[in-house]
Amino acid sequence: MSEHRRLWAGLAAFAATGPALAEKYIPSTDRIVDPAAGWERLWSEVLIDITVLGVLFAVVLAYLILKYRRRAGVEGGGAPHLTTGAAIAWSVIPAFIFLADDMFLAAHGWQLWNVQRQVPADRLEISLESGMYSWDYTYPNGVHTQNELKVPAGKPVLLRMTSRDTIHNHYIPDFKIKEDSMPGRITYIWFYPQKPGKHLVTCNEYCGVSHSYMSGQVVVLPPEEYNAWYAQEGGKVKQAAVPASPAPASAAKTDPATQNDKSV
Amino acid sequence: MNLKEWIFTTDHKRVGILYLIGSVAAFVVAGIMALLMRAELSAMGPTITANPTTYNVWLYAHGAIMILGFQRSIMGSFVMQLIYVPVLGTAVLLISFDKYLGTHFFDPTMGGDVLTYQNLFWFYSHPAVYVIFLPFMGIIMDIFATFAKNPIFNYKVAVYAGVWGIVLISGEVWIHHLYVTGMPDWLRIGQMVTTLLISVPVGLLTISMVGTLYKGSITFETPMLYALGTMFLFLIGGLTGIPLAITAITVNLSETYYVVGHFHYVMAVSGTLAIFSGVYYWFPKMTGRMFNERWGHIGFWFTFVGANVIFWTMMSVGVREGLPRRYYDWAQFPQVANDQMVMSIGAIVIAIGFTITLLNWILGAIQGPKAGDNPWESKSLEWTTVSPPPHGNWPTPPVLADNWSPYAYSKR
Repeated sequence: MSEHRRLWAGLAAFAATGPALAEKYIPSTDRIVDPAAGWERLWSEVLIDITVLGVLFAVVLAYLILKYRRRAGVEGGGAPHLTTGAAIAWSVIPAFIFLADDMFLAAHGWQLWNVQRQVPADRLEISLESGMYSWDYTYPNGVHTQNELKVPAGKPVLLRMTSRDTIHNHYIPDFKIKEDSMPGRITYIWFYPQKPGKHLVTCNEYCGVSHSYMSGQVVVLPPEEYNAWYAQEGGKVKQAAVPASPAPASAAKTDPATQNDKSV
Repeated sequence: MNLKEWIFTTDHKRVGILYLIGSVAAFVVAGIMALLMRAELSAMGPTITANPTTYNVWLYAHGAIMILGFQRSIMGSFVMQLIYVPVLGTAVLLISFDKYLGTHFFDPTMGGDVLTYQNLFWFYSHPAVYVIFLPFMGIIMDIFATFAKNPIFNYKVAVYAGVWGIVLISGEVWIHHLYVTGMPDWLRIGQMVTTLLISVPVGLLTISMVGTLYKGSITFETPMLYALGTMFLFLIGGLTGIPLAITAITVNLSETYYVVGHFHYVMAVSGTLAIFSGVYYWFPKMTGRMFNERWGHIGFWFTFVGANVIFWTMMSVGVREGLPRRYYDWAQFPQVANDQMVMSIGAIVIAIGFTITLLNWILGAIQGPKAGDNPWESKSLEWTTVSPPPHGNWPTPPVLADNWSPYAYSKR
């Protein structure tokens, strides 16, 4: 069923352009597995894998270099002629080992990929619009912030991302996740903040001369503190007498209610 | 700008272009020879010539024109250029149209798409890295065989599974350059698998190179030192590419210093060392003179150590801190100050190594001792002529034994 939905969502995305893309289908799940912890685990696994391979090759290489240095009086090498059987064995067996390792890593990579792409249903959903040189976040109740993403501890956060000018990226090194935000396209990432704290956000796609200065932060607050802030800011949005429906992210710049967000 | 200026140029860029034209022309001639041979062999008995000597001339010319010993690798590269370069041409044309003629191929506000350019670009540019990689692998294999005095281990597998395997897979992995651009999830997973599969032909090539040393009679003149250095850097570069093949890992590492470090290990520095290796190897043939062996070694160690200092640090900083590349400033990452300094020192060490190498070549070409025809005791055809080769390559046509082979080092 979900495969069908995905297919239709894909076809719809093909058929339509512009605003329709905002309806991008995002697969949901009931489980919450921390993708950043999964990343750390897979990374150590891959690191062990490539270290073993590297040491193995390096030791054999070093052994051969030392063992078969030219000795006085020995001119030519003495490599034995490879029989057809040996030649086949020396290609099929290593190829099998490399393939097996590839498939092992691919399987584990795929598992983590599913975690990274299936977003827990119980989540905070925020839309993001990037521009030179900032990220503008819009919360479900219409609150806007710039370069500061306040989130409650213990709740998965989904970012629906687009861009108003060129290609940018939203990278949170501490949560091991990034994706480009692009004009005319919607992308998404999610992360699972568990403890209060601050985390750097950087742009990871060259976007103009000030690219390296484009930075922000994710501020993870204790849930009570976050809720208080969220309610208070939501109230301000209502008072500003903006039309009831939340302003689209692209209006962030011209919407007077958002001009004071930095003072928050 | 006239023809004479081009022919008598001393400008390295123009010489490079002339080299390129020369290589292509040679390849065409050698290719025609191969076609003549294939035409002749297409049917039993005399087909397009009744004179066996004519056929032998084609055979000889075909082999001699592709003399540099890495014709297989070169051929692989040519096939890739034939298939993929037109796509780059298309991308460049379309972006020029957007820029100068007011079209909107890549402009989403007018129905274009920003990812189309990236797809076209990488459809070409990923295979392009193998266009560089394959010839340098060819150079290194020739040098391994010559200095270990052994035939290349499992040569046919290295060529058919290794070189042609890479050519085959290389066109189906470009999405790994677009892992964080929101390409469809299934596509990012599919190309994770194809990208990991590259390890099979590359692994087989590596086994062929390491295996060539087995029961060898190895000497460590400068070309071999560089070849072994290339091998070591390529090993690190290749293995550190495995995490990057895995999409789920790369959504963290993409666009960081880790990628830059990996790329330089696998491509830039191993490629450079391979070319240095080749220049040192054919130096006596090109100039007729010998470089200074001791300074050759010293230059190598500076370059090799400097490269490792820079690029190991680079990978480390990318994984530890997620430091993004293409950064004019790293103000948000004060913790990487020491690493940045270490990398800068590494760059100076490399510069010293390059300078020594360059001076060694210049001085060697001017005042080095006479090299002789075959200082490395190679079996390959180019070493049968005098150094430097005259017009026509051989003063007299070389006479080769019936069982001649460029890799017939082993007595057994």
